[in-house]
Amino acid sequence: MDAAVSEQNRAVVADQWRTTVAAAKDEGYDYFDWLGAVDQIGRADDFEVLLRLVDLDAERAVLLRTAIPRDDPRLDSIADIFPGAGWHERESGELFAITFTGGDQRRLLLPEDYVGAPLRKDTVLAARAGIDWPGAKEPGGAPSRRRMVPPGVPEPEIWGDRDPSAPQPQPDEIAGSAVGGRVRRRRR
Amino acid sequence: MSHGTIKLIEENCTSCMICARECPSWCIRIDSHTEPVRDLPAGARERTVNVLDRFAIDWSLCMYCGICVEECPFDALQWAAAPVPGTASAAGLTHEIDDLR
Amino acid sequence: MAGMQFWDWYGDGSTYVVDIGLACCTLEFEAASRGRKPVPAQRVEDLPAGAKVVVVISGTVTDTLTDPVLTCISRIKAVIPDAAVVAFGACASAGGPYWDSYIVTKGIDQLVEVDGYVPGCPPPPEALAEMVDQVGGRSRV
Repeated sequence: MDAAVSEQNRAVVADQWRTTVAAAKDEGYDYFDWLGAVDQIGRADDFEVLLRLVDLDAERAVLLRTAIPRDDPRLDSIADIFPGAGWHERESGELFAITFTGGDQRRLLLPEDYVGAPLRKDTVLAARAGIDWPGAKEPGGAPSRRRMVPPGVPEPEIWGDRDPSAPQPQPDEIAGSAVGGRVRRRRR
Repeated sequence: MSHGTIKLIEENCTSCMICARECPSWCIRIDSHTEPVRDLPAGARERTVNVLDRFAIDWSLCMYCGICVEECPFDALQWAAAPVPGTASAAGLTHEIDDLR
Repeated sequence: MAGMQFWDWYGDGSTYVVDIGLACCTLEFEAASRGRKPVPAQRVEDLPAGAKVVVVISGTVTDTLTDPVLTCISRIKAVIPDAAVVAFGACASAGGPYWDSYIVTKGIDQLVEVDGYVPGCPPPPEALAEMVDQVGGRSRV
């Protein structure tokens, strides 16, 4: 498919997901391209689930997007409408801990005993937090007056070297700190 | 120009740390200290210069993205053609200043 | 076990190389093996006695694949105890750029003894040929 394909973006309410997907297929968008999810933490308290369908004959595509709450992430499976979506749902399901209701709940890539949802933004890459960042040193070896924290590693007070008596960090604080933002702890 | 390895031109390096900070793989390690500049004119205020003690690249982590070469403001890093040779030990994959000439 | 592709590396029956191809580096292995003699025998037991065997691990070792990779290596070593293991590329050597991943083993040497490490992302095919020369005892170095 090398011709430019016209793209449409359609927002869908989560409980209309199945009907909208089936309707798009009837409209002619009958080629499943991909399904994925985005963790919106920091911008909204939800996951966005995206689905791209293509009408190969008319050379047009539609990107369907819906949002599901982060604290109860469930969405109807559409794997019976597009069998190719089955693996995509299993992958997004296991990496974000999203349940695609009615779909195949088996893990696809992660080992059976793996604990966690690695693609959630509050999941920290522990390997980076656990070793000293070579860039933390100052030129000339001077003691650092400000703490340099690299991208991907939350500030130690929030995750890792936290005062045990301080309140548990909130997911959005972890995610916000890991992208290099300064997080002001709020009193809760 | 073949991107087989990255060389350090030691005399150009000012220990600014930019390459170590920009490296996505954290494979560059730098140690440096400061020394006073000698033979200043009479009455001049004291100045210091950075002296590079250690510059190491861990080739077992490097993905040859070239960000360090691009980011160095002093052209102290450059691509060279001959690939980094294999070794019998993992430790042998960390190259120091003399190996990076 | 399912068949493995052995390469009679120098074409003289002395050295057999097999690739456990996990990721991108395996394409460089394919380039390095181009023009060399593939072996019809698919089991390590069918290789000539006294031959040197080199097992090349090409690519990222994900935690999910460590069991199959170790099974391959141990089955080869059970028949050829002095088979050499080569970590080909940064990922097989130490995890490469994915060392921080939640699912990557930081180098196959976390699990087996490695006789040679070839850095690169990916290394060029010539680097593999040099390493096979070295671990196979043909290097002039």
